[in-house]
Amino acid sequence: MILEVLRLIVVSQAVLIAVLVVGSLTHSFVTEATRRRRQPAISQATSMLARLLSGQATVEEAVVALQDLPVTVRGEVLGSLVTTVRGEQQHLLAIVAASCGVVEHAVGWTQSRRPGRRLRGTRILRRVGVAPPELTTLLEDPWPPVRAEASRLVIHRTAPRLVRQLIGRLADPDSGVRFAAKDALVRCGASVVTEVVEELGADELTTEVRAALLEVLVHVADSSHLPVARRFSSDHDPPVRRGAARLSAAVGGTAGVTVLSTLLTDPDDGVRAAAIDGFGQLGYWPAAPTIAERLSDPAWVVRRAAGGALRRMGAPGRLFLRRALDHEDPYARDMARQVLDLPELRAAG
Amino acid sequence: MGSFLAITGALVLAYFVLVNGFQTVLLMSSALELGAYRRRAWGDEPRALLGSEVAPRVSVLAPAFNEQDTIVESVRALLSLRYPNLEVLVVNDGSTDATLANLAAAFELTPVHPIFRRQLETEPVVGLYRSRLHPHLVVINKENGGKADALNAGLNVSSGQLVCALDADSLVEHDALLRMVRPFLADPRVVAVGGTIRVANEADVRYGRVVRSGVPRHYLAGIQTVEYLRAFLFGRLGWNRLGGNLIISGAFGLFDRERVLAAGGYESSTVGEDLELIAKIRRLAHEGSEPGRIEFLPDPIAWTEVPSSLRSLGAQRDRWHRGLADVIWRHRRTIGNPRYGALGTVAMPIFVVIELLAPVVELLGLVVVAIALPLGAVDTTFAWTLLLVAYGWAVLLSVLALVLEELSFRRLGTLADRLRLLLWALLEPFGYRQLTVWWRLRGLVGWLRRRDDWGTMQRRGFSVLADPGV
Repeated sequence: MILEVLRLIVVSQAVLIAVLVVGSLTHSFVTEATRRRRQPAISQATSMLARLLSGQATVEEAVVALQDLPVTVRGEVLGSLVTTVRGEQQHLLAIVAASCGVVEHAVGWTQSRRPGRRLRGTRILRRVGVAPPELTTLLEDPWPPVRAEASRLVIHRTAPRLVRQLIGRLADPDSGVRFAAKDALVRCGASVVTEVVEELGADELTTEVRAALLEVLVHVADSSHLPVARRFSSDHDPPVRRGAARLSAAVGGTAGVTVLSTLLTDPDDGVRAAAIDGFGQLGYWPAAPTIAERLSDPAWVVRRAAGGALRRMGAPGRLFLRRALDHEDPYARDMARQVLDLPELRAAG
Repeated sequence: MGSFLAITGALVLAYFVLVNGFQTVLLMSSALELGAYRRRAWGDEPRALLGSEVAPRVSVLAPAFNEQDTIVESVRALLSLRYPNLEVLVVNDGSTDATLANLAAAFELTPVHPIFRRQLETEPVVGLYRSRLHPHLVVINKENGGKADALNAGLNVSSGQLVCALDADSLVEHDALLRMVRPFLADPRVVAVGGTIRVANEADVRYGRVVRSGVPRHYLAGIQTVEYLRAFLFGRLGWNRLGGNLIISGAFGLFDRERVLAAGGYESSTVGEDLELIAKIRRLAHEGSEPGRIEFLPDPIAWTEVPSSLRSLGAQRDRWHRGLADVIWRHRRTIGNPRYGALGTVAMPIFVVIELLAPVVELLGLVVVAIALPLGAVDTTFAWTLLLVAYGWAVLLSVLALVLEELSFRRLGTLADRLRLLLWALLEPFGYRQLTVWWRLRGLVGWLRRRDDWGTMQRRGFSVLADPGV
């Protein structure tokens, strides 16, 4: 009986192996043949799109060149070019994508019941750089990868309502969506500042969202944001105060320095370190004596920031570092020694 | 004697069913995982992360010891990795040849003094240098202390939130980091991500990048290609759904720096430092209720040259098995302990029974058959049929790995390469498998005798293509 079962297993294994090998090789052959068959049409379409971008062909000609390809491949061909162009040329490719049915097809997919298909649709739209009116719904999709992908799409359409919705995604339960939203807001830059500043004024924001919004402003670095920095420098959440310190450093000026000075004695290590980093970043040497005092700070991150900031301030900073070599506090002495003691290139070369 | 043989034979047979049953579960888990992964990854562009100003900083750690001939090319390959916020740290682990001088000459190194906290004890750092040509390249020159010690020195100096541990002679695909960072962004519980290692013995390399991946014609390298494909594509991928991986290859892994530092970094006193780190991180995560999720991704790829001589291969497998035994012994209290979740109840017991003890049981099986057949204690037809089942199953697993590869990533080269791989899959159970049993047994005995040498690895080097523009 057992022998019979074993024999049956051997035969089944042999049949299964044969089927898998033949199936795998056939799949490989068919895929390769399809790729080769499509290659001339892909090359022709790509070349026609390049001619369109250089003004030597019309949108209609480009659409005709794409017609022979399956709609997903059309999206791939357009997507491969969209990332390399900006402005008017990107707009032209978006018109082609709409005219050759790629956008319609992708929008159809975004309305599917299947999450995988909605994700595909959203990805095609992102690749071709078209943000459809359905984006509002996609930003609220139940599947996090779709919401993340939709967040990236907002870059192509920074309407105030969409930006507010994108800011709302900073509080998404999924960390991938939160990252995508923050990344998209930073990439949008100055075009989202009004909404970001407005939202920062709302009382119900979480610490994470507020810190993320401040980070968006840091990347824009406009002096008109100084009141925001000043306001949040006294926030009760340390990550928000850290954000305010970075924003003050990014904005600079006398007012920025004033905010940074108030944060030098903050109870949180990270805030003190961020304020000191800010002074180093600005190269504001009149602050060197105050920063030198922080060489004896109880927190290592603050001492390191102080050492680094003094080094960046040039001669005045180095003077205070040398003086710190005789400091009564051993930690201050050690940090000053580390910053000043430049090793030589030994075995190398 | 007869009853002894019967009992032993039954035990070996039960072990055979257990191992194959588990592999079937692993295979199904891997197929599900691969399907879900492909659905999520369809049309995704890792390059989309390239312009990000908020992407976490990644520090690549590449320890190097006496690699004067290959170090410059290896570092050039690392510098060409695509990632928006990258730092490359090469740790010269007390090389006695011209490794550091070659680096200094090729990358115009200049001494620097970044202030870093020595959170992990290492051999003394002699000097730190930054490249004038590539400001994100930092070279650490330290006294020799071994690979784990070099990685720990790199961890001390690194400034990234994530650290990528690499072998300096691995060739990492240019967008691999962009892919590997995604699990960290999507799930804050993730502390380590492993990528796939593939065999590059027959590959053509240009500018530190594999431009053609062929299947080796050499017997040992060819069979290892099948073995790596099987181990990574359904072995490690399958573990994602079965309680998480216990192995992230030392040649290619991305880690949360804070978690690695909290775990005390790499352990210098073991030859299985990569396995030990993961076991430690996972154990501490359970003990401190901290995040400890380990992910494996199938498509970020690093290419490596596998041993092509019996001596080198034997030394490698011997060391791997000693490392495994050592790590299991160090973390023995987790085995079967429900306090450690899937680590204690699934991963560790499986590693003990199916990985650690496999060579012992296989040897026992061979001895029983060798004794029982002449004595007539076992039915010859039955023995041969069982052998055929075992052979068929081994081949079937390899073929299934090839099918998964064909349906997903299709990186196996030409049709001839696929056929050659099939041939190696058919030949693997003859000779090669028995040799690995012997090497692993040697490793087990070596661990019992407290041997801690690394053995030697002779490399032939990649087939580097000339610049077509020259």
